[in-house]
Amino acid sequence: MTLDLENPQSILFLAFAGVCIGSSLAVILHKNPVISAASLVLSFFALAGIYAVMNAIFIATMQVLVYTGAIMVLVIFVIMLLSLREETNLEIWRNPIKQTAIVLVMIVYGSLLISAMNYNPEIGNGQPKENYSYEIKGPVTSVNVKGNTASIGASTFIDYLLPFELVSVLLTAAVIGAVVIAKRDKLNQS
Amino acid sequence: MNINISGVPLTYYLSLAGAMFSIGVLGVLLRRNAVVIFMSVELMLNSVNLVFIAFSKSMGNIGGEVIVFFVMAIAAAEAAVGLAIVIAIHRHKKTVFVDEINLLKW
Amino acid sequence: MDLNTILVWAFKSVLLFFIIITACAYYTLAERVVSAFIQDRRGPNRAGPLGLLQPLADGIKFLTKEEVFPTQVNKVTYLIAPAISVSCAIMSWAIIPFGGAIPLPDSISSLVGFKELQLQVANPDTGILFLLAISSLSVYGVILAGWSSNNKYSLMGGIRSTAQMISYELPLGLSLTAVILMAGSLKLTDINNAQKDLWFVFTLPGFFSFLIFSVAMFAETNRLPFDLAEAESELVVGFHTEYGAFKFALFFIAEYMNMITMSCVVSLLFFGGYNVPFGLFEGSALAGILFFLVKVIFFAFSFMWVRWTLPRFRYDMLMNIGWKKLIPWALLNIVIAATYVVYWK
Repeated sequence: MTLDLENPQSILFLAFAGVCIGSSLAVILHKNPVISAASLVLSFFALAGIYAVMNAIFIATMQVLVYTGAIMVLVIFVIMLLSLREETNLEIWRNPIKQTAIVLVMIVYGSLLISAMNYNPEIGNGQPKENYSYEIKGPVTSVNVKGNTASIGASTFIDYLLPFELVSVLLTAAVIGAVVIAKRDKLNQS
Repeated sequence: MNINISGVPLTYYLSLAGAMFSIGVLGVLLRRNAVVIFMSVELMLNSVNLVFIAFSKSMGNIGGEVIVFFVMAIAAAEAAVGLAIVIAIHRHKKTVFVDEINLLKW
Repeated sequence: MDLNTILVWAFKSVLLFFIIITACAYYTLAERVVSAFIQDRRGPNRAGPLGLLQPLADGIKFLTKEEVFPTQVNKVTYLIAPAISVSCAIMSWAIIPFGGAIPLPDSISSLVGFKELQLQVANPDTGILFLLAISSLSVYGVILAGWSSNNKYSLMGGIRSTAQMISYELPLGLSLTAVILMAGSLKLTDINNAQKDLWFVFTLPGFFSFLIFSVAMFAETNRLPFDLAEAESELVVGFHTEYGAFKFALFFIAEYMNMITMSCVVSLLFFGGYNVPFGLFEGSALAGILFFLVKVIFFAFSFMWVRWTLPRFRYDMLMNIGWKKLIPWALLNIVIAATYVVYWK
């Protein structure tokens, strides 16, 4: 199986995948945490580009909005407010435990890669079924929508309504928890 | 047979996700800075998102994309609480390097 | 996805880029003339007839000034920050529709392969969310500029400005939800077509949304009355203190381009976009474009009008308004919009 190089989307995929892997390596290898965070932002942006190439346009927009626009801004704020110092990473390559870890992870990834290349599922005929529409006919609800955003919305509120409400409760709990944990203790002025 | 999503075989998406996951694991194991460890965990979560969407597109089931939406919401919640814990630890120990936070070590 | 489509996209993008750079340049001149008018004096009128070549003079000045690189800055992020600001300001123009579809005559349509010219570079399924995403990205330009300048005024200005921008993204997005509920779709062309009979600002949830959105849009673009982060008397110039000639020009262009983008978005979402009122000139795309331009120019003028009318908010009052007043009203507005859609339409 090879890439269809006539299709410009596959060239875009290669470009975005290269940027993604390059900046992920920069995240774990660079000493300065702000540059690490900026490379992670680039990696997430490239991943959003890959989602857009796959025609998952709503998830691509959500990736930019939530991950790069909110979570990484929070991470960069924390790094700047705590003024974190750089980490000398010469010690990584000298520690035998960490060297074993690197070798083991590469072996695991290699075996995953081999099993992925041999993956031949018995579904379809080579063309993906584009999930652009959502249809459900039941005794109470009957819905037929077209478009990526509309089908994700319909599926969330019809099939996955309970997880949606639970996630909203979880987000409320997380906000309250974060405020309580990070609050400055008035009795114990530090 | 081969499944191609936009001209790219499915296995290429899976191997990219596997590479990101391995890089994330290496980041968690090798780095000492707690915020960089947290960022590597986010890398791992994103690789799983990529796998979900790749399979959702190849099988025509929109459920994969909905699950990715929930994973993103939960990652945001985890980011808020995790970074609040890092801030609280920094306030007491004045460091975020995980090998220097060893009060409970015997 | 073939060569024709890609070439049409590339051509539209390049043309749109030149149009908006020119519009942004003349918007800076308009700002100086309007502020002079409000302050009862004359604006720049020396560089060419009526001062119309002033943006060209400003451009030449910025390009030929000496580029100063402070030694203690972090070079990579110092140079990337203005690039991020300008790229995000320009990227948000990809989905703004300037009018309806123009039917092409047969000779051109056989050449390019399609029959109607869309006045929009791209029309993705998630129209208005793309704009919110790009405005979330423009926060990075500010915070990286503030941090990399190695200067405590820049850092304070950068952190304050970033906190303000991310706090006001919430009421911006929540007030849009009411509009999306009423229009039924995220695409900007659908939102525009849903306003053929009645502009959304004349409905109750639409009116509240418009009030919340206009307050939030002043805060997002760092304009008075919310420009504490770059106020000259308080923080030198804020996050772009250490930026000289061309790098400052990039931040300047990014700010003015954001203002024009927000004016376009307000007129598309609340004031009917390129629909002509009372259904006159039905079917003529040119009348639609002209009315859209009139609405955008009015909102761009209102940015300048508000700047010289209202005093500046203090930082804690600013955050108070964003979190404790706008967000609860925006949430209540979603309930009102949902009730409106279910029971009144």
